[in-house]
Amino acid sequence: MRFFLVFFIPLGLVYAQENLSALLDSYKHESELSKITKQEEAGVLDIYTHHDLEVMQAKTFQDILRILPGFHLKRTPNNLTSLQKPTTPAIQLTSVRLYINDHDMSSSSFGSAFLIWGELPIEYIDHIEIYKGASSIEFGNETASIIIKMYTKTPQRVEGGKIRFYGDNYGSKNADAYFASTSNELSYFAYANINNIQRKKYYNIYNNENYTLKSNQSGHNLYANLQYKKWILELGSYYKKSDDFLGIGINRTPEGGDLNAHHNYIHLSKKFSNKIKLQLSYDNASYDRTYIDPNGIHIANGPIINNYNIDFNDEIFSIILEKKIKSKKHSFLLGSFYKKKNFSENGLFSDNQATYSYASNYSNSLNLYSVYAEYSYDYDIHTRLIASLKEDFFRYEKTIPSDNELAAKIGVIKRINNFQIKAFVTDSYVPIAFYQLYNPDNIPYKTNPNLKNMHLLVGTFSLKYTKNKHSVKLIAAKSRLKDIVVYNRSLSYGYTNSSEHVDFTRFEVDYTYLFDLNNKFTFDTFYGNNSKNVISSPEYGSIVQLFSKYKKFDIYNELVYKSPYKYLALSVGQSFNYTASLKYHYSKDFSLGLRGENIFNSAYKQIYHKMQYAIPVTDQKIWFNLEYLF
Amino acid sequence: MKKLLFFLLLAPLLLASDIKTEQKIYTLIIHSLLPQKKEIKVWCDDKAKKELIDSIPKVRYILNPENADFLLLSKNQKIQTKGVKFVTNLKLLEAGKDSVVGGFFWQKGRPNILFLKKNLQKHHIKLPKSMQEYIEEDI
Repeated sequence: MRFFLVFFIPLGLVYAQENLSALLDSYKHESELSKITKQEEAGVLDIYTHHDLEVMQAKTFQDILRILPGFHLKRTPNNLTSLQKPTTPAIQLTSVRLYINDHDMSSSSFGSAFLIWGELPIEYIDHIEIYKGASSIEFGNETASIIIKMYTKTPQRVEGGKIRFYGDNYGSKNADAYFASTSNELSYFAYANINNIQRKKYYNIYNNENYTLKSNQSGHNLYANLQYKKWILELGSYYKKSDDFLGIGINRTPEGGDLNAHHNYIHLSKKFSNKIKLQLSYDNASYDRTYIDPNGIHIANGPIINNYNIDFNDEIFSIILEKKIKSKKHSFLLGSFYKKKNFSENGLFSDNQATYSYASNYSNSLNLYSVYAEYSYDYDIHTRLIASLKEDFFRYEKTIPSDNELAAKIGVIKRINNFQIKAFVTDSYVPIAFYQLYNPDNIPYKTNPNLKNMHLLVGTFSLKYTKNKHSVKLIAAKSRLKDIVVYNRSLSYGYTNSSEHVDFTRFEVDYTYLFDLNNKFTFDTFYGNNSKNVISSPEYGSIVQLFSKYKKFDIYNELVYKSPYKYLALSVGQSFNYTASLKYHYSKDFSLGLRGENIFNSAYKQIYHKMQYAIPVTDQKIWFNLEYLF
Repeated sequence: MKKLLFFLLLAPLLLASDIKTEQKIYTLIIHSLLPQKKEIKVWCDDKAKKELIDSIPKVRYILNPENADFLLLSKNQKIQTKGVKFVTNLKLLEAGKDSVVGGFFWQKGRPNILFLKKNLQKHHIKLPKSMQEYIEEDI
């Protein structure tokens, strides 16, 4: 017996000693909020967990968009963040919707959140889910084929505070602070950010004059979340000021000009015990842009000008009511929303010779009603069938005729041993935004009453195989975009619907190997094309990520590859954007980090009209990071 | 020696991969706090935790807190009984630091376990060496 104990008991002790700490680490991973919030029925899903974001030392929304499989991160000529599908110059902005928790961040003017929120600091975000081939019905809001859901940190998990500071070798500075507290009835989470991001300058020589292309940005972000019983009140306020980069001048010769944008919102939601959810919200957003170009800016129906100022102001009132009904095999989501969107546009346009000056303004509003239903049926424990339907009713205050639109989706999720199959077909539309109806370049502003929503048919198929520590996912997506809204300067209204449709095809292979909870390897590769065989961006892309933990160090490696492409008589070679970060946990509460971006100085370059060279979307930078929990 | 045997017997259970981690943690906590009990009577004030308690070996969920050996508290720590009180959030631990022996809760974005020395002593509890690092003088 003694021999038995001498031999075996120390093993038990060793296990117990190591165990509680390991169990806590395991519990932390097992309790990731993304496991609770993700909706497999909503589409093909990419998740960036709380742990992923921490190890990556992710700073802004751009750090995620840059590694989103199937897309290229784009910097627009006027310094906004956007996406490109492979081969396309840009994605239709209104086809992507960003939510922070349940709140739709889109503005009325643009029907997109990217113009204001594209560079959002994400320290207050717990995790991010990106649904492709979605219809948005599951999220009870306006239609989109790509849904980005950001979930904020929760008071129950945070229970304490954090301060974070980071800066880079260009002199950028960013500070984040948050604090959360809970009690039996009242809990809150409050967050504040201030940032000043400096970016590499580029130059354009025109008529022997050297013009500086700046893209710096500064601003702040405030967010608060109060929970009382089952009521949740959220308050958000984001402000940014940014340079114009290339601007909109004919020869890309900006001389000053900037963007001042803000978005404030309040969102109240309540889950009642009878599975009814009520949401009320109010948004107020402003987008005030000035372009100055001594060598001319085109406007429609006017002369060449030099000074262009435009100010969009939005208000959105929203009420959403939903009820879930669930039985053993059947699940229903029944919902309805009403949105009142107010929009106003004020412009001031002049030339440097004081021969032309014009002020233009317009306003309109939209009453948007929607009813929707989703039904899912569990045929057996391995098979789920999904069908959803949504009817939207557009009623404008003036000038634009009323319109109704239908969106529908059917899908199946099937598990066969280690395989998971997902297939969705979505027949939907891409709504037009106010700025397209009232083309801001068309002076004086005129409504285009003939402009229609774009229509989209998407089929998405994914096959996932998981065994032990390996996971492989194959994705194929085919979409047809009809009534495409294109800009044609020669037309009276500028924006018009194209009579031709375009088909897009995308293939994606994702592989993940989980060494253990803290060590993970991922590889994603994708290919895309369009039926017009027009190449405006790379056809291929790959992303490699390696998440590692060694003693007190978190180590992250990321490589983003894009294939070569030609566009506008310029050629761009293949690109390798290598990012590496190292975080040292001095104690449980204090950590220091370094993050290098575009380390090889070979990141994806974008070709711009009237520019003699391509410009990298990501700067070569070294970031220094400090974090303290209290 | 009994404690060592207890860990030896408990280890295979804790290693079973199909058991949720939260259950493993509570199994370790409850049996470490009350190692001498053949069957531990547990009461909790949050019905959502009943399933968790029922899944812990050699533990029985009871309806009357007066008879409980171990009380898992999520709402109110003021209950007066002879049992060992353990809480699931930081605020309850702070409020009940004169009587609560410890807590398993989220703080600073991570899960934490903490035992209060003076309250362990009141109950004559000596935790195994492996868990000593989670004992604090005060909160």
